[in-house]
Amino acid sequence: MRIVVVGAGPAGMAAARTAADAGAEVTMVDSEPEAGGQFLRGRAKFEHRGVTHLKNTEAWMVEGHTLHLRGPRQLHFDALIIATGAYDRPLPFPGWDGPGVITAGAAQALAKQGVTLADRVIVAGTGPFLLPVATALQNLGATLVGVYEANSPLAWARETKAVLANRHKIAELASYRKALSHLETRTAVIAKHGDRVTVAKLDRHWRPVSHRTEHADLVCIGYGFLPRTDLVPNAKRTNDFLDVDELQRTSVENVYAAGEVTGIGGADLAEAEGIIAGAAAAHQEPPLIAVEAVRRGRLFAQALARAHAVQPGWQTWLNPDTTVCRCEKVSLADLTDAASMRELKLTSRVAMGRCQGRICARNAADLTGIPFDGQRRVIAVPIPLGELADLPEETS
Amino acid sequence: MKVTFNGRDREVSHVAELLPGRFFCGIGVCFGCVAEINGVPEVRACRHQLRDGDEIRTQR
Ligand SMILES: Cc1cc2nc3c(=O)[nH]c(=O)nc-3n(C[C@H](O)[C@H](O)[C@H](O)COP(=O)(O)OP(=O)(O)OC[C@H]3O[C@@H](n4cnc5c(N)ncnc54)[C@H](O)[C@@H]3O)c2cc1C
Ligand code: FES
Repeated sequence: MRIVVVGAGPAGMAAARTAADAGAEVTMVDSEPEAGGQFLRGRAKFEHRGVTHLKNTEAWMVEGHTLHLRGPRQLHFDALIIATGAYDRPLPFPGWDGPGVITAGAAQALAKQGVTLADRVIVAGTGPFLLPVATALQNLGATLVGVYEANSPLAWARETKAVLANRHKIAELASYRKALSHLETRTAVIAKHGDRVTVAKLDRHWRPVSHRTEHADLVCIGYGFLPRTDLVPNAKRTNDFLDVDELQRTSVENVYAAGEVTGIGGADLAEAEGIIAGAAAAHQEPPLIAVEAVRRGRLFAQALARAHAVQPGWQTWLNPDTTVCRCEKVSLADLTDAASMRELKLTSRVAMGRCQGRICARNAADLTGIPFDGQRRVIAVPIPLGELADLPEETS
Repeated sequence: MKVTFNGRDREVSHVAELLPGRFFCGIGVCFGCVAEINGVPEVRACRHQLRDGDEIRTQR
């Protein structure tokens, strides 16, 4: 039984270990030089009997029972586990495409390499994952001008069931004490020009009600997450996250999914889903303890999605000339009247650039009122043409 | 690290410093950081481990 896992974050590592322990021959592929994924990168030492870890290796297409890797190279599988995680959703505002604005995930990745890029920093967006980023920047000596949460924490008061089942998450907050004292809620960065940052107080729909100017060299933004689902463009999804059943099976035969590609609930939920996917793919009964952890974790994930949902008022932060699509420099005013995502792309060139809409497609759909049909790309990574034919293997 | 950026000598601690306004997601998703690195075109700089002597180009 050959099982291939794409992604070496908490979900992928757990899936690989579990499947190998069940006797499968496992290959775990990840584009990064080390295992760990978005949150644990650099802190996870992965080695497990029965698992071959292909580092620095990007997967770009699934074709039947074959996974295509950059290099080029192919892996054949009986079962495939997608554990590719998610990335921050940015929201556009005047100046977001200029210097000094990066995603919160980028700031976190840089911080892991000991780099902050600036002295005065702002972290803005929604959701609890802004706090570890702010803390990491502080620990590297940056001055935290503010952590701006666009939603109100009062939303959590309605989520007692999820909170009680996940008390350890609340305890985690204490470790971000130093950042928490800079937290302002119903607040967002709505413009940045040079080091002048416009910080607005928001109503509950995220429409600005007042604003002020702060000075910062770096603004790190994250308005929730978008899943990296492009290896399985035809799998069923809800709100772009992959649908899975109780065994983590997607709607595509022999393809499982685990971790943030199915929803956002933190590293422990990702790991528990990985265990279930790894067991199920190797035809074993998933351990009850993982099943229970997933149940608890999903309660938290659903509460998180409700309490930190993106509200439509952000659309008022843009001017007509504000960039929506960074690759093709498409501004709000360039967005045409279109009936479908496809028509919008062809007429305005939004989402037609190098990132293939990963950054802008969702925002463009919201701004035009076109239903977002998920990110369905045929190829996960743009491939230099020559590589398909004859480049030497770049894997280590 | 001592590198060459568009033909000029630069000293930086991370490739992100060379690409303000382009280095954005930091994890290989946005393709904003694409550059020619040591003669190889279309490399996402955020996925490249910078070394002394690297040559980075965003323009010819
Ligand atoms: C800024 C930020 C802060 C966070 N803070 C916390 C926190 O404090 N606590 C917490 O619990 N969670 C936090 N998270 C969430 C965290 O991402 C998850 O908890 C956890 O990392 C999810 O695990 P995963 O295995 O699903 O995905 P990931 O950890 O994202 O792993 C996915 C892996 O797949 C690889 N990959 C993706 N596509 C491909 C491809 N095509 N080919 C090869 N490899 C590929 C990626 O390189 C990555 O290593 C944070 C996330 C972000 C962005
Ligand atoms: S910074 Fe986004 S791909 Fe490199």
